[in-house]
Amino acid sequence: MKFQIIKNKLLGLIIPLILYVAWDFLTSREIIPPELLPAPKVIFDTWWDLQSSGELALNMKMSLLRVGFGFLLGAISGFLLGTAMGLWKPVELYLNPLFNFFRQIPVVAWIPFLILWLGIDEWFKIVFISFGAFIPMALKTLEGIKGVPASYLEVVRVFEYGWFRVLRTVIVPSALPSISTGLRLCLSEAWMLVIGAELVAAGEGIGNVMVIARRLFQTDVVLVGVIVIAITGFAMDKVLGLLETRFLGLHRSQNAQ
Amino acid sequence: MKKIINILLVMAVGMALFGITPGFAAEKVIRIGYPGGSGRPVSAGGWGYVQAKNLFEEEFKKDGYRIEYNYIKSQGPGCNEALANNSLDFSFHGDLPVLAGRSGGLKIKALTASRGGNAHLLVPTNSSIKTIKDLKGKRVGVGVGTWTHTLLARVLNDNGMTLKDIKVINITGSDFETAIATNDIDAGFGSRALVRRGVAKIIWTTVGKPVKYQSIFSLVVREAFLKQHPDIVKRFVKMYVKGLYLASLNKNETLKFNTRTGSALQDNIDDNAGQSIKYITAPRIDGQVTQLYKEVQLVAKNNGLIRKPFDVDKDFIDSSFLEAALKELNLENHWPNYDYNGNPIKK
Amino acid sequence: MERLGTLEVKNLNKKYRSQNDDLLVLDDINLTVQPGEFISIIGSSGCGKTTFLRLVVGLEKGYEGEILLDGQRLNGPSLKRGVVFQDHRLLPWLSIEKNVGMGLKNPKSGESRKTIQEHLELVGLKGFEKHYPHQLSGGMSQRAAIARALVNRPEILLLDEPLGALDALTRMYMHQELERIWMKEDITMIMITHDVDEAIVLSDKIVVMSSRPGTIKKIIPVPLARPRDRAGYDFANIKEEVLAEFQLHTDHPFTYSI
Ligand SMILES: Nc1ncnc2c1ncn2[C@@H]1O[C@H](COP(=O)(O)OP(=O)(O)OP(=O)(O)O)[C@@H](O)[C@H]1O
Ligand SMILES: [Mg+2]
Repeated sequence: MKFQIIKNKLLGLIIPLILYVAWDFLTSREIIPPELLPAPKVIFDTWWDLQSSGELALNMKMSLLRVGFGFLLGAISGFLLGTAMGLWKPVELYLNPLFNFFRQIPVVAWIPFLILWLGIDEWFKIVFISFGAFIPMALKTLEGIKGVPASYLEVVRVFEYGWFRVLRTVIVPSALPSISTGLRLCLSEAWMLVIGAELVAAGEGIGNVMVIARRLFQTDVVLVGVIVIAITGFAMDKVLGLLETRFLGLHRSQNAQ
Repeated sequence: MKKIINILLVMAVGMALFGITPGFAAEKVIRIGYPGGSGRPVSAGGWGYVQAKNLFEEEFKKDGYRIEYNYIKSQGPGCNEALANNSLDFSFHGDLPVLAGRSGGLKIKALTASRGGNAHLLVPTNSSIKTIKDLKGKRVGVGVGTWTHTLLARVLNDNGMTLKDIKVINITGSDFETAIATNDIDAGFGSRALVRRGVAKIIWTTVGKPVKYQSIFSLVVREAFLKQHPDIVKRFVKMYVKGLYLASLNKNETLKFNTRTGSALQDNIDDNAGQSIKYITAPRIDGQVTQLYKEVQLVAKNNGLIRKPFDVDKDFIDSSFLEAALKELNLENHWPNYDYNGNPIKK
Repeated sequence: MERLGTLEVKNLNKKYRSQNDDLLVLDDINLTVQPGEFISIIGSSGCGKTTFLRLVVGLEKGYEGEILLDGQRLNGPSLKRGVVFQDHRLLPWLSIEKNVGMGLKNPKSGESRKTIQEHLELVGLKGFEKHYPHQLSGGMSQRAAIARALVNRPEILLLDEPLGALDALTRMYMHQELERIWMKEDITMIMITHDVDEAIVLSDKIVVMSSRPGTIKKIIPVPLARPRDRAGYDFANIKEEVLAEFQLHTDHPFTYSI
């Protein structure tokens, strides 16, 4: 059992390992020119440089702060809207068409307007991130609440539950997996958009490090940025995933087929 | 294992068949890159004459080569990228991007260099900024990675500041012009055209300052292209020098000629500020140029714009094509070499 | 004092709206259930048994006719009428003990804990308090659902094929238990079943329904002494009588075995 789990985890590492070896082979022999794809060793050295100079930490801090604020703003407002629409039919009828219209708009399409309204400083980035984070959160919350099986609601109707007990016993636990998925989507969206926002507008941040590095032909720094972004995103999702199993319990994930 | 080799072979053959090789082998074309901010796709000076007189086209017609001028909107950094992915063979761009490209592993050789380019630090007309010191904390628009980026760093350093004391906004070309007109940025390097339009005023300029603040632009060639077509490179440089020669004959004519890029004659005269026409057309990568390169590289290094400095004197400059061209055209003594301060060195 | 809990169903019609025309599911149902009676409803699949049950629980609105409890029209579901659904409907995120305690006002009190424990024992699920529904078999889940419905002592308990998923032996054991509970708690039970023996063992009356539209075909009283002897002569007679109702139905002569 344990062995099987470890084996399955190892299987997922095989392809990355092959890619890594290929990357190392092709770049160290300069079959791929180093200016197009630097070798792993170069990437590691550059990473270490950026790390020890504190440049990476400073810029990551800025990016993560933005993600934090944008994520919170988007997740909270998305959760509130999703909950309101899920619980009150009139709210859904009034707002859902507008929301569905709104979510068809790719977040990047807001960039010109957001810049016009908010300039290119922090508010622009935070609001931009929150726009993107808001959508999956509202959607998944609504979906979760709407998806509460009617059969369960009937059970508690027979028991004459008040609204609060219905909420606590059925709606929240039933909607929670969907909400937690929303949260994860929301965070990964926020993380992608912070990079997008920083690519567009200047200021410190890992995305901006990459823009500047690209303009200065520092391919290695760009690639370090890509890798750091990937690892950070992966780690953030993993942490949320762990929290999910920790707080939602294993029996739920098995039950929700 | 054998299977993998087979697959790789098939892929290689496929790539060869479909011409997925650098530079699309079927068509014969020489591709030249040029930073094209907001001006027209026409060049000034030597390049202008080369273009106007179709020197390249005439020279390479018999070999069946087409000449392609690419005006790269993202400027020097964009030229570097285009060279890296083999979309350009030659490029003519500023000191910082050429040095940054080379430092980043771009395989290029510098063939010639031009000096004496000016830039002006502009602020919106109604701005209260009067000196460099007033820039502290302000948003300054600059093409990140272009030669004005190091210039900005230098000017700030002269005033006891660094790039970290201001907000650097990466903006170029017409975006820059709009941004300064709408007060979205507080300052930035631009041309006199904005002053002429009443949008901006100059608070600092390279004109009248020591020549170390002025730009060095270099003609660079992809090393692979150089190895493959040394003959083409040789003839290319020759034609380019011919253009420079034509530009160097009459200063007033050339300044007037340069208005075809859209600049006003008076601005060209003001920018020239009494520099000799020989000075601004001189092509040699002489002591002045290498000295300035080293200085720019040092500034760039100190400001974190270049991470891995390289030895400018080693493996980077190839003057042999220029010298051969000068000899063939009998122009060996047409241009003097210049010293660090821009004074001709007497033989 | 007269006992409460008389259920009267008068001229009950129920239609479901389908795409273009209405589907008449229940047609003129008339039934009176005395307090403390055990009624079984037998009928072929899709004849409207569950629909009838839902109407009595109060989960289904929009019907013609009257459903009266002690002369009062029903007004939505109530704790007084417990129900065991055909699908057990245990909440997957609650442990068995919490599921069973769902019907209690204050499931955490000592009193409640005791009641929950008693009911778990009653349905043979002692030791499974902390388990979750996905860890239970289908039959165990049904038993847990029965415990949940009983825990708050409803006046009427409606059971929709509550023992469908059990093996024959457990089923017989559960018959005894149900009978015992029914007697001890003195409640009215209305049970839907496909098992004729089960109906005869437990019921005072068997309601035989026919389908399309669902009507009451016959109400067969079971005047046998309890506990009932499955091998007895009277038992067999009644079984004959019930089965005859199905064999007459030319479309589905052996529906009873469903
Ligand atoms: N919500 C509904 N909307 C429309 N039709 C319905 C609905 N619920 C049930 N029906 C229809 O009513 C009829 C009776 O359904 P019901 O569930 O009462 O049958 P049943 O007698 O309980 O069958 P079974 O023994 O298979 O459980 C069926 O034809 C079914 O298709
Ligand atoms: Mg049914």
